[in-house]
Amino acid sequence: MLLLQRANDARRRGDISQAITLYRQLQQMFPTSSEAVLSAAPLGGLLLERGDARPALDQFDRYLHEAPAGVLVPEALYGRGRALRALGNAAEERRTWRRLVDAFPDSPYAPLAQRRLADLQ
Amino acid sequence: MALLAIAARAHGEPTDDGAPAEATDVGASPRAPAAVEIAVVGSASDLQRVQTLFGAGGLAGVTPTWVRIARFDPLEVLREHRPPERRAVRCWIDLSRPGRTRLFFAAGSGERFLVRDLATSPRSNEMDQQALAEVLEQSVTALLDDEEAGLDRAQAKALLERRWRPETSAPAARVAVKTSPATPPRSFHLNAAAFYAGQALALERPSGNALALVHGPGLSLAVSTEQVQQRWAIWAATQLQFPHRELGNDVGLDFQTIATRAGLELQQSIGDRAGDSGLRISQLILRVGAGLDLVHLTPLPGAGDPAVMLTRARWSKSLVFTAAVGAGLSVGPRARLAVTVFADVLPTAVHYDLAAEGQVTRVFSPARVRPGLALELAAAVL
Repeated sequence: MLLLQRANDARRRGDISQAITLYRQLQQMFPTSSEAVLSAAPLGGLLLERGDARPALDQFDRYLHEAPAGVLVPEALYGRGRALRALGNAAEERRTWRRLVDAFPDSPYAPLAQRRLADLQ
Repeated sequence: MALLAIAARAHGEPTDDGAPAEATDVGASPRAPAAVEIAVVGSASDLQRVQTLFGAGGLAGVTPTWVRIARFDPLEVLREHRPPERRAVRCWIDLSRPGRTRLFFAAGSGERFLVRDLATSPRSNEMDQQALAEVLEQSVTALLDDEEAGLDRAQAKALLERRWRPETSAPAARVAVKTSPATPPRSFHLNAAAFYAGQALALERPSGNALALVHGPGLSLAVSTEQVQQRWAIWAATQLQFPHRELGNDVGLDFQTIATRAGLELQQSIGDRAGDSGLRISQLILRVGAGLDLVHLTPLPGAGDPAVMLTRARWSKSLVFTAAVGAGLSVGPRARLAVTVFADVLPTAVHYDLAAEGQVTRVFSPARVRPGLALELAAAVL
């Protein structure tokens, strides 16, 4: 738990590279832990923010695979859609937004997903 | 309630087009300052617990204003009218029910809302707290950064009335409340492992003691609790040892053992700080259990008397207690390599005898304590 807290603290104070290092350390050292699974969503967000869309996508996919009913699934889908957009994979991006809208119509990301779906038509 | 906390985000935010925004200084940020107000519905300790999640870094780059309230009607989210305020978010965290955390958000515009319902452990563990922090952070960020995020007033009203009006106005006719698909993380893990174990057998023989090594591959399954620092597991294993031959002057014996074991295991993480020192071992393992050794015995003619009459091959079984200590290290995202030192103890002595012409003579007797070493590769299955 300590590593996750330290990573979150680093992220919240804006030390992105330190946060990424700590999240990665957590995932490497305790790969099967719930903390490692939970960390995939914020780590994906940081990697995407830094422009690393491919590893960000891997993190979002990891969260969706490991925690298919987790509390951060809307966030992971939102991140996945943005990562796929950055990678230019329109077909998979469309599927991701559709899944987000269908499964989480009340989520904060549904309006953006709807806009993107309209753009992708 | 006045919005007191005002700050500007100091780092880049994901934008609508999926590309990261450039990091900006507080003073140079083109965005309006943000304000976040959080009301915790619960006890003073609930408030303190949530506050500590955000430490010095704040929430979404903003130092929130905190208040505690004892009771809360979700429909108040819609009723409260304030002058529209850009880049402001109000949030209510309802911790008054064990096993469920309800989150309500209202954007400063007064026209966008969010409702989230999180299932938590009955006693709200550390993981629940970290998950709550993430949901709070992400939801607040979304409302601050996207004026269209969330539900409009009509959608929010319909949702809140659907979920909470029957509960508050007619408790006797409570209807099922639609919950979000979110569920707490799994409370157990299932690991499968393949191992190879070798074991020393001290053999007491009339002609002199000897040491035999028996070894073979095995498979095991373990169901462990979800905790990270200290996990308890129930495990079961079976090993097929390769045949071993003991040949005396009068008679010999081939024996092959199928070892079955089950018991309890404690996996103790060495600690998050292990990574700081470059130490790669991530777990200490303690294991106790019991089982049966099923031994297939095939008598053989001795080296000095090939014409001896032999009994038929047969199975024999022995109760065994076992204990092990080991160390594990991660070798992949879901795999662990472990080395364990173990000892089997047989409560009953076993000996193999030769009966000839009314006389019984000891051929050999394996020691009741049998130390061994195992190398194990385990992977998380669930």
